[in-house]
Amino acid sequence: MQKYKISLRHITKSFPGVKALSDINFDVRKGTVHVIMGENGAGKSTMMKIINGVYHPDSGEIFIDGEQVSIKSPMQATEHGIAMIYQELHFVPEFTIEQYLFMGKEPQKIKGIVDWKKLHGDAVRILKEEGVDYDPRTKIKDITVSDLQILEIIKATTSGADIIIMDEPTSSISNQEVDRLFTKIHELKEKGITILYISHKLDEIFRIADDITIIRDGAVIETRPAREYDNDTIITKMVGRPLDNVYPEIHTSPGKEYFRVEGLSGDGFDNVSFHVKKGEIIGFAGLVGAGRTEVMRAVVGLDPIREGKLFKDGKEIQNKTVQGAKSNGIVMVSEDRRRYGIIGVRSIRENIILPNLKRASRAGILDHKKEKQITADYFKKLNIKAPGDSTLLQNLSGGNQQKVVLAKWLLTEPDVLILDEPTRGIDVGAKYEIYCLIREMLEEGTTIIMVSSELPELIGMCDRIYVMAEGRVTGEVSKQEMTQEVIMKLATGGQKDE
Amino acid sequence: MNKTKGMSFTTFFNKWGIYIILLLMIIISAIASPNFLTVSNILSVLRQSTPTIILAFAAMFLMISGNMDLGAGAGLAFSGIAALVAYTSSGSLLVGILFGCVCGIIIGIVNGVITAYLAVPSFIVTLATDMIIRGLIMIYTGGQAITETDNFSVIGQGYAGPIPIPIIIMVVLLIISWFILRSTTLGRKFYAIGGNAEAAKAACINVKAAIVQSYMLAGVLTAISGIVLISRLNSGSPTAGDGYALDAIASTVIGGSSLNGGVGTATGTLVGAIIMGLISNILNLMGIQSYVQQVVKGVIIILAVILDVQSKKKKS
Amino acid sequence: MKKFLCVLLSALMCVGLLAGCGSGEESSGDGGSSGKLVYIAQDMNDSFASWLANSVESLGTERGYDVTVMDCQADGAKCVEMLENARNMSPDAIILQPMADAQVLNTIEGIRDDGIELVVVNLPLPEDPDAVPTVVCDDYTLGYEIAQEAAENLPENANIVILNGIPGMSVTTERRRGFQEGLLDARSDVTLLAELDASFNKDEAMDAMDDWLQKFDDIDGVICASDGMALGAIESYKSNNKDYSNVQFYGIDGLAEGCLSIQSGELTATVLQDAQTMADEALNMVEGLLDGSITDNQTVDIDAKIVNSDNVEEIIEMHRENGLIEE
Repeated sequence: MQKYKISLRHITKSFPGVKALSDINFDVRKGTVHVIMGENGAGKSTMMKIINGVYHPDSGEIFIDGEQVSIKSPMQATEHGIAMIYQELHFVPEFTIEQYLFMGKEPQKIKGIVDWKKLHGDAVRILKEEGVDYDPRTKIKDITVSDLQILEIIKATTSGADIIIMDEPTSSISNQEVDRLFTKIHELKEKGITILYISHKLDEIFRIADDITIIRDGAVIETRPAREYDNDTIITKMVGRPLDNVYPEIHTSPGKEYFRVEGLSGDGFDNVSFHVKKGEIIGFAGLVGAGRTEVMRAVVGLDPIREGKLFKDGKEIQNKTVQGAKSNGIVMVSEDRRRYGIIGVRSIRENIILPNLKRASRAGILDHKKEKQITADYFKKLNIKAPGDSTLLQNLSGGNQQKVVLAKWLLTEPDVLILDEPTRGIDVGAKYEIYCLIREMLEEGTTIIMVSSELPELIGMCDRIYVMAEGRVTGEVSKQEMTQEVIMKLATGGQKDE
Repeated sequence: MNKTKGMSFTTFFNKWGIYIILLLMIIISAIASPNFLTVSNILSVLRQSTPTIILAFAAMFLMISGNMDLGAGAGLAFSGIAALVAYTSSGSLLVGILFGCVCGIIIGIVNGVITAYLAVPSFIVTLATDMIIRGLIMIYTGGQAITETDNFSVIGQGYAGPIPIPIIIMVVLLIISWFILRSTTLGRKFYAIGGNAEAAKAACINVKAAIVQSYMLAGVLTAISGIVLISRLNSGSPTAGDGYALDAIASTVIGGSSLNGGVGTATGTLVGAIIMGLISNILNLMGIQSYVQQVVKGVIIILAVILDVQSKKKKS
Repeated sequence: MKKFLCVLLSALMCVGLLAGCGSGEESSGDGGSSGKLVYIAQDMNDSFASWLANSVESLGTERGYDVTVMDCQADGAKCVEMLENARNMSPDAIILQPMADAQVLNTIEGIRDDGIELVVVNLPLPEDPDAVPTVVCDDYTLGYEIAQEAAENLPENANIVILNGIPGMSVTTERRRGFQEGLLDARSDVTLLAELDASFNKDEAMDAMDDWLQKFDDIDGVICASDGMALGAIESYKSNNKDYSNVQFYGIDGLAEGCLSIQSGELTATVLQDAQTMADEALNMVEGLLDGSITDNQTVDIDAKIVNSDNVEEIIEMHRENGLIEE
């Protein structure tokens, strides 16, 4: 056991009603990138939080450098050299970079008084070495997600961490930024730092993984060197069944032009025009901040429009409010489900019925039987994994939460369904289910607009793709032209045929 | 993932904890004083607590929707006195009660509109309206209690057979509140906007309208509470209801309503308010002075809130 | 926009509060040949305090003073403020109805150093009663007088309960001492079944009485430190459908509420601090101080007046004349 940096033995953890981890055993070699793969809800995050001291295991031991340790809090984890970079970044937006870098470890002139000069000097030096091009006095809220990530890594290494845990670090950054992150990871490896890396993204992990541990349903399936795997074998082990395609084949032929947006301008976007045909699925690609979400929010009535027109089936329509949009048959699955999508303290049933109260009530009085029946249909249809429909949404995994959100909007029987990052933070198995659902909807004649930052997803699912950059549509890509390079060129502001 | 067999302690306590505490209190009280567990004392306690119970229902609807009314005590007095005066001027109890309720609704609309449409936190809005309403009461009454009450006391002191009328009113309002929360779209909207107002808005709920509606509903309940209290006291006392707003909020929190909104039940609120009423009843029967009562109340509130927060800790 | 409205609303509220502070002053009367007089009331929302203030104002004006009335609004800190404000007006004299928790001694010294005369009414100065000339109707006296009335009227071997005021205040302890010596010590056959503090609140008194009615079958007398509480006890009997025709209820204050209750045969008796007499004596003291005939910090105790079914009519008439009872 001495040769391993981290070892877990018989780790078990339960939460009310749910056994999250059972008898976890695996070892991590020093100075390697060890990738943990598994479906959402498989237990990866729970496991990492145990190593980081946020949760305490019900039983089992953790060994670091061959010695058994007890990690009762993130602070104790830090003392053992463990640092965690979270999927959803919690930070102090008003802090400056230098304040954040040295948070808790500020250089002091005499005890208790901060030496700001030295702090600033150190920060300047470090940022320069790392190639992060910001004035250290810039506030956290003004820097990009990717830069913040690099900052977090710097913070970890400068405080002497030699184990870094990364949870889905590439879910909100562009491909260029992913390259930069991976370069950094290789640097860390060379310094002898051990990295635990959680991801769903098959195409990425082979670029950095030394070893891979696959987890399913709270148990370790196996741990092997990365070279012994390929995409298919990993997927099979993760979901327990072979998946033929990552994307289902879609055999629909779109009809005439159905929904058109003309010259839309508002906060964050300018003069945006596009159209969708009936039964078609179009994609919206672009870098983070391109304005896609802003456009869709305006289309669906959540934000106001400064200029522009909407047309459905040839007639001009107004979506001044969300209710208005819904009655026009246009609804949206929001990007940030925690903020706009789910009501965590309420049950699955209540969440699903919320925009559809009229269907399960008469004159304001609820028909409980009808409600249960309606939601049960969608429960089954979307294969939502939960003990029952009265389970609170906050107790579900991200993937299942997203399914509830989808059910909610599908129940409105929309004509045009807008999906904003529908598979973000969701495991491969659930993703496939959602793709199949999309296919079903298309076959039933629903028109779909999909905003996504995952190019393979857009290319795999969409008939056409619009690309946006800095608030404008920079191009439209047909099925034949769809490649990651073409899209990326348009997304970074270039022209299609350069 | 495998389900663990049966419920864990926290889930069990979440559901039944408040009733267990009530049962424990009843047992302890019965042992401490022989006069406690008699029909007449139980009815007496319930009757005494009725204004607070009704006010707790009002606080419950607001808290579930993510708001509160710190001026409920003033609103209660205002509507109660308004009802009294309307009754003595018109000679009709019905006119009096309706007028009081209308006053309550108007106060609710003012509070609701400012909170919802001007986006001022309800904490501040209701603090301000509390001062304004108290001031208005003082101006109207000149600081003196109104003693001309004719037969107004029949509401708060009367009986229907063996049962005091306030208790009947309370039970009716309990059933109505329970029904609203459980089986109406309005109740669902309250839960939704309290749970996550932005998600509710994105789900086509008119959040602002629902907030105003919650305040109107709370306003009527506050008015009824005031009518019962003023009637019981048999005088239009301008200082009536002082301190009741916080008692009502404490009652509904003890009864399981979450301070963050989105959670709460009518039966839980009822139990919470009864627990508050029991404290003073049993200490009075034991001859213990009011300052001790304050300490006991405060401790119980803290314990209840701690238990509430602990048992609701989210699974991250 | 939201932020602007928030700030506007807060600003309006602050202005309103400040205006409320300022409007604690009500000026009255022209002419002031006898001098300028400032009267500082404890809380104009309180019936007795406003009666007292009005009495000082009208009697003072009659005597030729230019009287200004200020209101502490039941706030000890404001009391100090009001004193400072009064001092800045450079009157000839200030009459103060102090708050039990106001730290006014320093301010008073400053006032006297300025040559302004100061008289305290209704409540002796809590920090140092002998520092200033005072006109009071002693709380002990009030308690004692009503207790004596009860001692005269209660049947043999009577059972009584007592409702006290806000615990810790001297008003409460003094009145209770009066009850003790006036009734309990004077009549050893009387049994005290229980006592509770109801903080001068009618609803607390009612709840306490409710609970006692569960416990005790045979209460003959209810002795209360205020009329409000006595009336609450009576309401409790009514709402419990209990016969109270043989129960005697005693209170303290003698204001409109209490008198009307005696008139309708519910309250047995109360005891009155006559605000008119108190105002009169206070003005006498001011005059004595101003013309030099009074040079020490004396205390004048005015009599407490029992009000029962014998004399309630004339007291009601007096209240009517003073505007305390409207028709």
